[in-house]
Amino acid sequence: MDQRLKTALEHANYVTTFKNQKRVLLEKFSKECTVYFAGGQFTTSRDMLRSLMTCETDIFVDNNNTPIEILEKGKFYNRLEEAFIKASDNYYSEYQKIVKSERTVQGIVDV
Amino acid sequence: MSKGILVHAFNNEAIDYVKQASMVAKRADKYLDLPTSVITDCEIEDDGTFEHIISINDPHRYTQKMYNNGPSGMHLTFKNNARVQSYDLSPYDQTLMIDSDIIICDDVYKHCFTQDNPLLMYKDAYHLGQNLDYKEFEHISDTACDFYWATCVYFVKCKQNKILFDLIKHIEENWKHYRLIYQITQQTYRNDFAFSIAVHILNGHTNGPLAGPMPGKLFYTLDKDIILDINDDTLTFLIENNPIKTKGLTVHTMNKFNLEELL
Repeated sequence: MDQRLKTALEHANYVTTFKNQKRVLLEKFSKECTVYFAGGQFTTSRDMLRSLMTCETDIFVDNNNTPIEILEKGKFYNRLEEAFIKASDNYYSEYQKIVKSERTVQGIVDV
Repeated sequence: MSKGILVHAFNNEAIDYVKQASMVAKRADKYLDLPTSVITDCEIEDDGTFEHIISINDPHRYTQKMYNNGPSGMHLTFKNNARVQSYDLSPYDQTLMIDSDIIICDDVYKHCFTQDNPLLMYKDAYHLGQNLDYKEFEHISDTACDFYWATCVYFVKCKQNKILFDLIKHIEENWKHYRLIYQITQQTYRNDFAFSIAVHILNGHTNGPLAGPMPGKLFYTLDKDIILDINDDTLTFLIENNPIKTKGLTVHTMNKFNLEELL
């Protein structure tokens, strides 16, 4: 095989592996942004955190469209914030690992 | 209320499902802090791995199924009918029934036990490979009802779920009839289909809220995919010749030969 083609194909494998790993990391981020509270399931985000304390009602509609009464809003906020910070930090650090790894398929897998 | 994991383990000519069930029990204890019970037709030494060993000596109506191991494969006996008895046989008030080839790597499933819906099932599953966002099964056939996975089912002992499991038994016993009604091309009985049909009927022959969504997403690899390594909560797969590594994600791995080698 022409060496240029061989090199290109190896790099294509690397790109595919990188894409797959990034997607897996995004799924993990999404999982870690999910908070289970008072029997409901919520996805934390910057917008949710911003809007939470300004809203007067104690009723929140969760990810499954179920209305949940949350009386401990402070505790709920803390859980959402903690989950969001942890998920974001993990996503960033894990992503940096694959970005800075040796730019080969094996390099990514060895992270 | 008592709560725990329920696994079915019926060995065939080549697959040691009991070994897989032991893996589930150990991981359920580690990640979910929950006991596991097993329903089996095998003699199992009680070494404390399982809280209850529930013997069934007459799992009836065996089928044959193609089991792949990467590019190769073979037809083997598939004893999948006992699952309809799960409600009656479960020793728990709150049961999470899962396949023996699910590698638990996180605590997501424990959230089943802290919500109010008495029945939870996955409607969607996501392949870990390139088609991660592709919904593999939307409906049980081109013209029929929504697809629900029997791979992982949370149920509480209650009147509604008793009716559901009795209905599933009825569907399993009259599979030829229901297969035709729901226009399912596959001839062999499949639990996913029976559960889906039962949910559809109990929802009034339409889509409805009977089965709530399980927490998190159901990720899976096919039996044509290879599991390269299992290291605590880090799993490495070879999917379509590309390696994929996960950390802290529970995955349903369908390559049972390969899984058994690594346990």
